[in-house]
Amino acid sequence: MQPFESSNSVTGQANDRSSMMNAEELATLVSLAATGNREYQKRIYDFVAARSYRVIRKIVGESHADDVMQDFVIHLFAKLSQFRFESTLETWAHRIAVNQSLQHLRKMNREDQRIHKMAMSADVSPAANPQSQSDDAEVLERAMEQITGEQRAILHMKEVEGLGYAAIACVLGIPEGTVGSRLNKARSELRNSLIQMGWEA
Amino acid sequence: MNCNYVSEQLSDYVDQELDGEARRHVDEHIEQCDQCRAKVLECRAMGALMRRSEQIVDTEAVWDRIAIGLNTPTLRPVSIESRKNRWTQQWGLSVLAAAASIIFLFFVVRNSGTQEHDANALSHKHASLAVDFAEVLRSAKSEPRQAIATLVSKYEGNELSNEETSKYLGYEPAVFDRVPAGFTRVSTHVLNMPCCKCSATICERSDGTSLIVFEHKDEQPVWFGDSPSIETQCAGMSCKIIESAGQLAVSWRNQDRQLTMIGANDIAEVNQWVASLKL
Repeated sequence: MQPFESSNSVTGQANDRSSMMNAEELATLVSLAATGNREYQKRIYDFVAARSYRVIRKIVGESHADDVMQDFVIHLFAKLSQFRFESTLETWAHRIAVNQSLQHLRKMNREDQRIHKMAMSADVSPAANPQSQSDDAEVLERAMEQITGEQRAILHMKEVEGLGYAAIACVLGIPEGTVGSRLNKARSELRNSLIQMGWEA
Repeated sequence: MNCNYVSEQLSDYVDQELDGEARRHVDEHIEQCDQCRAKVLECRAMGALMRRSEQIVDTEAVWDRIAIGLNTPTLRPVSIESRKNRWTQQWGLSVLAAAASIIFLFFVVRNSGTQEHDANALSHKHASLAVDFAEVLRSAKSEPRQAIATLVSKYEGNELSNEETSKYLGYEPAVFDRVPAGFTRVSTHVLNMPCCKCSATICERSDGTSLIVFEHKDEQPVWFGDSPSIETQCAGMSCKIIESAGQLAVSWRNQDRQLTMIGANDIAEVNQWVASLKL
Protein backbone atom coordinates (compact mmCIF):
# COMPACT_ATOMS: atom_id res chain seq x y z
CA MET A 1 0.00 0.00 0.00
CA GLN A 2 1.29 3.42 -0.85
CA PRO A 3 1.88 5.83 1.95
CA PHE A 4 -0.93 8.26 2.36
CA GLU A 5 -0.15 11.84 1.94
CA SER A 6 -0.35 13.89 5.07
CA SER A 7 -1.91 17.29 5.13
CA ASN A 8 -2.30 20.07 7.54
CA SER A 9 -2.63 22.73 4.99
CA VAL A 10 -4.74 25.66 5.30
CA THR A 11 -6.18 27.72 2.68
CA GLY A 12 -7.24 25.52 -0.15
CA GLN A 13 -10.68 24.84 -1.43
CA ALA A 14 -12.39 21.65 -0.50
CA ASN A 15 -10.56 18.82 -2.18
CA ASP A 16 -11.50 15.31 -1.30
CA ARG A 17 -8.12 13.69 -1.37
CA SER A 18 -9.48 10.35 -0.28
CA SER A 19 -11.22 10.14 -3.63
CA MET A 20 -7.77 10.03 -5.20
CA MET A 21 -7.26 6.62 -3.60
CA ASN A 22 -8.70 3.53 -5.14
CA ALA A 23 -11.69 2.04 -3.40
CA GLU A 24 -9.78 -0.93 -2.08
CA GLU A 25 -7.08 1.21 -0.50
CA LEU A 26 -9.62 3.47 1.10
CA ALA A 27 -11.64 0.55 2.43
CA THR A 28 -8.50 -0.96 3.92
CA LEU A 29 -7.51 2.31 5.47
CA VAL A 30 -10.95 2.85 6.97
CA SER A 31 -11.25 -0.67 8.33
CA LEU A 32 -7.80 -0.56 9.93
CA ALA A 33 -8.52 2.81 11.45
CA ALA A 34 -11.85 1.53 12.70
CA THR A 35 -10.04 -1.14 14.70
CA GLY A 36 -8.32 1.59 16.65
CA ASN A 37 -4.98 1.42 14.91
CA ARG A 38 -3.47 4.76 15.71
CA GLU A 39 -1.30 4.97 12.62
CA TYR A 40 -4.28 4.56 10.31
CA GLN A 41 -6.45 6.80 12.41
CA LYS A 42 -3.82 9.45 11.91
CA ARG A 43 -4.04 9.00 8.17
CA ILE A 44 -7.79 9.40 8.26
CA TYR A 45 -7.25 12.46 10.42
CA ASP A 46 -4.87 13.91 7.86
CA PHE A 47 -7.53 13.59 5.21
CA VAL A 48 -10.23 15.36 7.13
CA ALA A 49 -8.58 17.51 9.77
CA ALA A 50 -7.89 20.86 8.14
CA ARG A 51 -11.28 21.17 6.54
CA SER A 52 -13.16 19.93 9.57
CA TYR A 53 -11.22 22.14 11.93
CA ARG A 54 -11.96 25.22 9.88
CA VAL A 55 -15.69 24.64 9.87
CA ILE A 56 -15.70 23.76 13.56
CA ARG A 57 -13.78 26.92 14.39
CA LYS A 58 -16.14 28.98 12.29
CA ILE A 59 -19.20 27.59 14.04
CA VAL A 60 -18.11 27.41 17.67
CA GLY A 61 -15.39 30.06 17.70
CA GLU A 62 -11.67 29.94 18.31
CA SER A 63 -11.86 29.34 22.02
CA HIS A 64 -13.95 26.18 21.75
CA ALA A 65 -12.54 24.83 18.51
CA ASP A 66 -9.93 22.52 19.99
CA ASP A 67 -12.37 20.89 22.37
CA VAL A 68 -15.02 20.35 19.74
CA MET A 69 -12.38 19.10 17.32
CA GLN A 70 -11.30 16.55 19.86
CA ASP A 71 -14.85 15.39 20.45
CA PHE A 72 -15.41 15.29 16.72
CA VAL A 73 -12.36 13.15 16.00
CA ILE A 74 -13.14 10.70 18.75
CA HIS A 75 -16.71 10.49 17.51
CA LEU A 76 -15.50 10.07 13.95
CA PHE A 77 -13.26 7.17 14.85
CA ALA A 78 -16.01 5.55 16.85
CA LYS A 79 -18.29 5.73 13.82
CA LEU A 80 -15.77 4.75 11.16
CA SER A 81 -17.12 1.22 10.94
CA GLN A 82 -20.44 2.77 9.89
CA PHE A 83 -18.96 4.62 6.93
CA ARG A 84 -20.68 3.19 3.88
CA PHE A 85 -18.71 4.92 1.13
CA GLU A 86 -21.89 6.55 -0.14
CA SER A 87 -20.20 9.93 -0.10
CA THR A 88 -16.55 10.84 0.08
CA LEU A 89 -14.86 10.33 3.40
CA GLU A 90 -14.35 14.07 3.70
CA THR A 91 -18.00 14.89 3.14
CA TRP A 92 -19.08 12.27 5.63
CA ALA A 93 -16.61 13.61 8.18
CA HIS A 94 -17.65 17.15 7.43
CA ARG A 95 -21.22 16.32 8.26
CA ILE A 96 -20.16 14.88 11.59
CA ALA A 97 -18.02 17.95 12.30
CA VAL A 98 -20.88 20.33 11.59
CA ASN A 99 -23.32 18.31 13.67
CA GLN A 100 -20.86 18.08 16.53
CA SER A 101 -20.33 21.84 16.43
CA LEU A 102 -24.01 22.67 16.34
CA GLN A 103 -24.65 20.23 19.15
CA HIS A 104 -21.95 21.96 21.16
CA LEU A 105 -23.59 25.33 20.57
CA ARG A 106 -26.95 24.01 21.67
CA LYS A 107 -25.38 22.61 24.79
CA MET A 108 -23.66 25.88 25.50
CA ASN A 109 -26.90 27.74 25.09
CA ARG A 110 -28.56 25.50 27.61
CA GLU A 111 -25.85 25.88 30.17
CA ASP A 112 -25.83 28.40 32.88
CA GLN A 113 -23.99 31.46 31.57
CA ARG A 114 -23.28 32.73 35.03
CA ILE A 115 -19.67 31.73 35.09
CA HIS A 116 -19.02 33.42 31.80
CA LYS A 117 -20.61 36.60 33.06
CA MET A 118 -18.59 36.34 36.19
CA ALA A 119 -15.39 36.10 34.20
CA MET A 120 -16.40 39.06 32.09
CA SER A 121 -17.29 41.16 35.07
CA ALA A 122 -13.96 40.41 36.66
CA ASP A 123 -12.27 41.80 33.61
CA VAL A 124 -10.41 38.62 32.89
CA SER A 125 -8.59 38.95 29.65
CA PRO A 126 -9.55 36.38 27.07
CA ALA A 127 -6.91 33.98 25.89
CA ALA A 128 -4.68 35.80 23.51
CA ASN A 129 -5.26 35.33 19.85
CA PRO A 130 -1.98 34.11 18.49
CA GLN A 131 -2.43 36.01 15.30
CA SER A 132 -2.91 39.68 14.94
CA GLN A 133 -5.88 40.31 12.75
CA SER A 134 -6.70 43.13 10.51
CA ASP A 135 -9.55 45.46 11.38
CA ASP A 136 -11.74 43.88 8.75
CA ALA A 137 -11.08 40.42 10.09
CA GLU A 138 -11.98 41.55 13.59
CA VAL A 139 -15.17 43.14 12.36
CA LEU A 140 -16.02 39.97 10.49
CA GLU A 141 -15.41 37.86 13.57
CA ARG A 142 -17.73 39.99 15.63
CA ALA A 143 -20.36 40.09 12.92
CA MET A 144 -20.16 36.32 12.66
CA GLU A 145 -20.95 36.09 16.34
CA GLN A 146 -24.26 37.82 15.64
CA ILE A 147 -25.56 35.14 13.31
CA THR A 148 -26.48 31.56 14.11
CA GLY A 149 -24.14 28.59 14.07
CA GLU A 150 -26.03 27.11 11.13
CA GLN A 151 -25.58 30.35 9.23
CA ARG A 152 -21.87 30.47 10.00
CA ALA A 153 -21.57 26.88 8.81
CA ILE A 154 -23.34 27.40 5.53
CA LEU A 155 -21.47 30.62 4.75
CA HIS A 156 -18.17 29.00 5.55
CA MET A 157 -18.86 26.01 3.36
CA LYS A 158 -19.83 28.24 0.48
CA GLU A 159 -17.40 31.09 0.71
CA VAL A 160 -14.30 29.52 2.20
CA GLU A 161 -14.53 25.93 1.11
CA GLY A 162 -16.21 26.67 -2.17
CA LEU A 163 -18.68 23.80 -1.88
CA GLY A 164 -21.56 23.60 -4.31
CA TYR A 165 -25.15 23.56 -3.18
CA ALA A 166 -25.43 19.79 -3.58
CA ALA A 167 -22.44 19.21 -1.33
CA ILE A 168 -23.69 21.70 1.25
CA ALA A 169 -27.10 20.04 1.25
CA CYS A 170 -25.40 16.69 1.77
CA VAL A 171 -23.36 17.94 4.71
CA LEU A 172 -26.25 19.72 6.38
CA GLY A 173 -28.78 17.02 5.55
CA ILE A 174 -31.19 19.49 3.97
CA PRO A 175 -32.88 19.61 0.54
CA GLU A 176 -30.64 21.13 -2.09
CA GLY A 177 -33.44 23.48 -3.08
CA THR A 178 -33.30 25.22 0.27
CA VAL A 179 -29.57 25.96 0.27
CA GLY A 180 -29.92 29.15 -1.76
CA SER A 181 -32.61 30.63 0.46
CA ARG A 182 -30.63 29.76 3.59
CA LEU A 183 -27.57 31.40 2.13
CA ASN A 184 -29.66 34.45 1.26
CA LYS A 185 -30.79 34.78 4.83
CA ALA A 186 -27.32 34.16 6.24
CA ARG A 187 -25.74 36.70 3.91
CA SER A 188 -28.41 39.25 4.64
CA GLU A 189 -27.93 38.93 8.39
CA LEU A 190 -24.17 38.96 8.13
CA ARG A 191 -24.33 42.01 5.91
CA ASN A 192 -26.55 43.83 8.40
CA SER A 193 -24.18 43.01 11.23
CA LEU A 194 -21.16 44.09 9.23
CA ILE A 195 -22.76 47.37 8.25
CA GLN A 196 -23.76 48.06 11.84
CA MET A 197 -20.11 47.70 12.71
CA GLY A 198 -19.08 50.16 10.08
CA TRP A 199 -17.97 47.78 7.35
CA GLU A 200 -18.10 49.00 3.79
CA ALA A 201 -17.89 46.72 0.81
CA MET B 1 -37.87 40.46 -13.72
CA ASN B 2 -37.96 42.73 -10.72
CA CYS B 3 -35.79 43.52 -7.70
CA ASN B 4 -37.69 41.15 -5.42
CA TYR B 5 -37.08 38.24 -7.72
CA VAL B 6 -33.40 39.10 -7.99
CA SER B 7 -33.22 39.41 -4.25
CA GLU B 8 -34.64 35.92 -3.85
CA GLN B 9 -32.21 34.53 -6.39
CA LEU B 10 -29.24 36.51 -5.15
CA SER B 11 -27.28 33.65 -3.65
CA ASP B 12 -28.05 31.29 -6.51
CA TYR B 13 -26.81 33.98 -8.87
CA VAL B 14 -23.66 34.89 -6.96
CA ASP B 15 -22.85 31.23 -6.40
CA GLN B 16 -23.38 30.40 -10.06
CA GLU B 17 -26.13 27.95 -9.29
CA LEU B 18 -28.66 29.49 -11.66
CA ASP B 19 -29.23 27.84 -14.98
CA GLY B 20 -28.43 29.66 -18.20
CA GLU B 21 -31.71 31.40 -18.91
CA ALA B 22 -32.41 32.54 -15.36
CA ARG B 23 -28.85 33.75 -15.10
CA ARG B 24 -29.18 35.83 -18.24
CA HIS B 25 -32.31 37.46 -16.85
CA VAL B 26 -30.56 38.43 -13.67
CA ASP B 27 -27.56 39.64 -15.65
CA GLU B 28 -29.80 41.91 -17.64
CA HIS B 29 -31.55 43.23 -14.55
CA ILE B 30 -28.46 44.06 -12.53
CA GLU B 31 -26.94 45.81 -15.48
CA GLN B 32 -29.72 48.34 -15.25
CA CYS B 33 -30.42 48.29 -11.51
CA ASP B 34 -27.84 49.99 -9.29
CA GLN B 35 -29.42 48.67 -6.11
CA CYS B 36 -29.32 45.02 -7.13
CA ARG B 37 -25.85 45.41 -8.59
CA ALA B 38 -24.68 46.80 -5.27
CA LYS B 39 -26.16 43.79 -3.45
CA VAL B 40 -24.29 41.42 -5.73
CA LEU B 41 -21.06 43.29 -5.16
CA GLU B 42 -21.62 43.27 -1.40
CA CYS B 43 -22.15 39.53 -1.45
CA ARG B 44 -18.93 39.01 -3.32
CA ALA B 45 -17.08 41.39 -1.04
CA MET B 46 -18.31 39.49 2.03
CA GLY B 47 -17.11 36.25 0.49
CA ALA B 48 -13.72 37.76 -0.26
CA LEU B 49 -13.53 39.08 3.28
CA MET B 50 -14.28 35.64 4.70
CA ARG B 51 -11.61 34.03 2.59
CA ARG B 52 -9.05 36.70 3.44
CA SER B 53 -9.79 36.37 7.13
CA GLU B 54 -9.41 32.63 7.29
CA GLN B 55 -6.63 31.76 9.67
CA ILE B 56 -4.04 29.09 9.45
CA VAL B 57 -4.91 25.70 10.86
CA ASP B 58 -2.22 23.71 12.57
CA THR B 59 -3.87 20.34 12.73
CA GLU B 60 -0.71 18.59 13.88
CA ALA B 61 -0.81 20.41 17.21
CA VAL B 62 -4.47 19.48 17.57
CA TRP B 63 -3.66 15.86 16.79
CA ASP B 64 -1.11 15.71 19.58
CA ARG B 65 -3.85 16.51 22.01
CA ILE B 66 -6.39 14.23 20.44
CA ALA B 67 -3.95 11.33 20.45
CA ILE B 68 -3.54 11.79 24.18
CA GLY B 69 -7.30 11.77 24.58
CA LEU B 70 -7.54 8.60 22.52
CA ASN B 71 -4.96 6.98 24.72
CA THR B 72 -6.79 7.99 27.85
CA PRO B 73 -9.49 5.55 28.86
CA THR B 74 -12.87 6.70 30.06
CA LEU B 75 -12.08 10.34 29.51
CA ARG B 76 -13.67 10.26 26.12
CA PRO B 77 -17.20 11.28 27.03
CA VAL B 78 -15.94 14.28 28.86
CA SER B 79 -16.52 17.49 27.04
CA ILE B 80 -13.92 20.01 27.94
CA GLU B 81 -14.30 23.60 27.11
CA SER B 82 -12.22 26.39 25.83
CA ARG B 83 -8.76 24.97 25.81
CA LYS B 84 -6.57 27.17 23.71
CA ASN B 85 -3.20 25.86 24.70
CA ARG B 86 -2.19 22.67 23.00
CA TRP B 87 -1.06 20.10 25.43
CA THR B 88 1.39 17.63 24.12
CA GLN B 89 2.04 15.67 27.24
CA GLN B 90 0.42 12.67 28.83
CA TRP B 91 -2.67 13.46 30.85
CA GLY B 92 -3.12 11.77 34.12
CA LEU B 93 -4.62 13.64 37.01
CA SER B 94 -8.14 14.19 35.85
CA VAL B 95 -10.63 16.38 37.54
CA LEU B 96 -14.07 15.69 36.26
CA ALA B 97 -16.95 17.68 37.45
CA ALA B 98 -20.21 15.99 36.63
CA ALA B 99 -23.22 18.11 35.98
CA ALA B 100 -24.97 17.27 39.19
CA SER B 101 -22.06 16.89 41.50
CA ILE B 102 -18.41 17.63 41.33
CA ILE B 103 -16.45 14.46 40.89
CA PHE B 104 -12.74 14.39 40.47
CA LEU B 105 -11.33 11.28 38.91
CA PHE B 106 -7.72 10.47 39.37
CA PHE B 107 -6.53 8.22 36.64
CA VAL B 108 -3.42 6.28 36.09
CA VAL B 109 -2.70 6.86 32.46
CA ARG B 110 0.82 5.81 32.07
CA ASN B 111 0.20 4.79 28.53
CA SER B 112 2.74 2.41 27.22
CA GLY B 113 2.68 4.04 23.84
CA THR B 114 1.37 0.94 22.15
CA GLN B 115 -0.95 2.04 19.45
CA GLU B 116 -2.81 -1.12 18.77
CA HIS B 117 -5.23 -1.07 21.63
CA ASP B 118 -8.75 0.12 21.42
CA ALA B 119 -10.34 2.15 24.15
CA ASN B 120 -11.84 -0.86 25.88
CA ALA B 121 -8.57 -2.67 26.03
CA LEU B 122 -6.95 0.42 27.38
CA SER B 123 -9.56 0.87 30.02
CA HIS B 124 -8.71 -2.52 31.40
CA LYS B 125 -5.04 -1.79 31.39
CA HIS B 126 -5.22 1.33 33.46
CA ALA B 127 -6.41 1.46 36.98
CA SER B 128 -8.77 4.23 37.75
CA LEU B 129 -10.21 5.41 40.95
CA ALA B 130 -13.01 7.81 41.41
CA VAL B 131 -13.36 9.97 44.44
CA ASP B 132 -16.34 12.12 45.05
CA PHE B 133 -14.92 15.53 45.61
CA ALA B 134 -18.26 17.16 46.13
CA GLU B 135 -17.57 17.10 49.80
CA VAL B 136 -14.11 18.53 49.29
CA LEU B 137 -15.48 21.44 47.34
CA ARG B 138 -18.25 22.01 49.80
CA SER B 139 -16.03 21.97 52.82
CA ALA B 140 -12.84 23.54 51.42
CA LYS B 141 -13.85 26.99 52.51
CA SER B 142 -15.24 26.41 55.97
CA GLU B 143 -13.92 23.01 57.02
CA PRO B 144 -10.75 22.41 55.03
CA ARG B 145 -9.37 19.86 57.46
CA GLN B 146 -12.44 17.74 56.93
CA ALA B 147 -11.92 18.05 53.20
CA ILE B 148 -8.35 16.86 53.54
CA ALA B 149 -9.44 14.08 55.90
CA THR B 150 -11.77 12.82 53.17
CA LEU B 151 -8.83 12.51 50.84
CA VAL B 152 -6.54 11.02 53.40
CA SER B 153 -9.17 8.36 54.10
CA LYS B 154 -9.11 7.40 50.44
CA TYR B 155 -5.39 7.51 49.91
CA GLU B 156 -2.27 7.21 51.89
CA GLY B 157 -1.69 10.65 53.27
CA ASN B 158 -0.03 12.49 56.09
CA GLU B 159 0.44 15.96 57.39
CA LEU B 160 4.13 16.79 57.08
CA SER B 161 6.43 19.67 57.85
CA ASN B 162 7.82 21.79 55.03
CA GLU B 163 11.07 19.94 55.05
CA GLU B 164 9.42 16.53 55.15
CA THR B 165 7.04 17.48 52.36
CA SER B 166 9.86 18.67 50.11
CA LYS B 167 11.82 15.52 50.82
CA TYR B 168 8.82 13.29 50.14
CA LEU B 169 7.91 15.03 46.90
CA GLY B 170 11.44 15.65 45.72
CA TYR B 171 10.77 19.35 45.23
CA GLU B 172 9.53 22.27 47.23
CA PRO B 173 5.90 23.10 46.47
CA ALA B 174 5.45 26.55 44.94
CA VAL B 175 2.91 27.37 47.60
CA PHE B 176 5.49 27.22 50.39
CA ASP B 177 6.99 30.64 49.89
CA ARG B 178 4.51 32.25 47.54
CA VAL B 179 1.30 32.57 49.54
CA PRO B 180 -0.25 35.90 48.52
CA ALA B 181 -0.96 38.73 50.92
CA GLY B 182 -4.05 38.22 53.02
CA PHE B 183 -3.54 34.47 53.36
CA THR B 184 -1.71 32.31 55.84
CA ARG B 185 -0.51 28.81 55.16
CA VAL B 186 -1.98 26.51 57.76
CA SER B 187 -0.88 22.98 56.91
CA THR B 188 0.37 20.73 54.16
CA HIS B 189 -0.54 17.11 53.60
CA VAL B 190 1.00 14.80 51.08
CA LEU B 191 -1.25 12.36 49.26
CA ASN B 192 -0.15 9.30 47.42
CA MET B 193 -2.60 9.50 44.56
CA PRO B 194 -2.76 6.80 41.87
CA CYS B 195 -1.32 9.25 39.40
CA CYS B 196 1.29 10.87 41.47
CA LYS B 197 2.45 12.24 44.73
CA CYS B 198 0.52 15.36 45.47
CA SER B 199 0.67 18.06 48.10
CA ALA B 200 -2.48 19.60 49.54
CA THR B 201 -1.98 22.86 51.35
CA ILE B 202 -4.63 24.64 53.38
CA CYS B 203 -4.39 28.42 53.31
CA GLU B 204 -6.53 30.64 55.47
CA ARG B 205 -7.93 34.08 54.76
CA SER B 206 -7.98 36.79 57.37
CA ASP B 207 -11.70 36.12 57.89
CA GLY B 208 -10.95 32.52 58.87
CA THR B 209 -12.19 30.87 55.70
CA SER B 210 -9.86 28.70 53.67
CA LEU B 211 -8.93 27.33 50.32
CA ILE B 212 -6.83 24.32 49.37
CA VAL B 213 -4.00 24.26 46.87
CA PHE B 214 -3.06 20.93 45.29
CA GLU B 215 0.24 20.60 43.54
CA HIS B 216 1.97 17.80 41.75
CA LYS B 217 4.91 17.61 39.46
CA ASP B 218 3.98 14.96 36.97
CA GLU B 219 3.56 16.32 33.51
CA GLN B 220 -0.13 15.76 33.61
CA PRO B 221 -2.63 18.53 33.20
CA VAL B 222 -6.05 18.51 34.74
CA TRP B 223 -9.36 18.20 33.03
CA PHE B 224 -12.65 19.48 34.17
CA GLY B 225 -15.68 17.72 32.85
CA ASP B 226 -19.20 18.54 31.86
CA SER B 227 -19.77 21.18 34.45
CA PRO B 228 -19.82 24.70 33.00
CA SER B 229 -16.27 25.83 32.82
CA ILE B 230 -14.14 28.44 31.21
CA GLU B 231 -10.59 28.53 30.15
CA THR B 232 -9.11 31.92 30.37
CA GLN B 233 -5.95 33.82 31.03
CA CYS B 234 -5.34 34.55 34.68
CA ALA B 235 -2.23 36.55 35.42
CA GLY B 236 -0.95 35.57 32.01
CA MET B 237 -1.45 31.84 32.49
CA SER B 238 -4.01 29.61 30.91
CA CYS B 239 -6.43 28.49 33.61
CA LYS B 240 -9.47 26.28 33.59
CA ILE B 241 -12.12 27.29 36.04
CA ILE B 242 -15.33 25.70 37.22
CA GLU B 243 -17.84 27.12 39.62
CA SER B 244 -20.07 25.34 42.06
CA ALA B 245 -22.17 26.70 44.88
CA GLY B 246 -20.49 30.08 44.65
CA GLN B 247 -16.98 28.70 44.89
CA LEU B 248 -14.36 28.25 42.25
CA ALA B 249 -12.01 25.43 41.45
CA VAL B 250 -9.19 26.35 39.12
CA SER B 251 -6.38 24.41 37.56
CA TRP B 252 -3.35 25.66 35.72
CA ARG B 253 0.09 24.62 34.63
CA ASN B 254 3.00 26.35 36.26
CA GLN B 255 6.21 25.32 34.51
CA ASP B 256 6.66 21.67 35.48
CA ARG B 257 3.90 21.73 38.09
CA GLN B 258 0.18 21.26 37.86
CA LEU B 259 -1.70 23.32 40.40
CA THR B 260 -5.33 23.01 41.37
CA MET B 261 -6.94 25.39 43.82
CA ILE B 262 -10.30 24.65 45.38
CA GLY B 263 -12.43 27.12 47.25
CA ALA B 264 -11.56 30.48 45.68
CA ASN B 265 -14.14 33.17 46.24
CA ASP B 266 -13.94 34.91 42.90
CA ILE B 267 -11.90 35.50 39.79
CA ALA B 268 -9.94 38.30 41.40
CA GLU B 269 -8.76 35.87 44.04
CA VAL B 270 -7.85 33.33 41.38
CA ASN B 271 -5.80 35.98 39.59
CA GLN B 272 -4.08 36.90 42.82
CA TRP B 273 -3.08 33.29 43.50
CA VAL B 274 -1.99 32.44 40.00
CA ALA B 275 0.21 35.53 39.91
CA SER B 276 1.63 34.81 43.32
CA LEU B 277 2.44 31.15 42.67
CA LYS B 278 4.26 31.78 39.42
CA LEU B 279 7.52 29.91 39.40
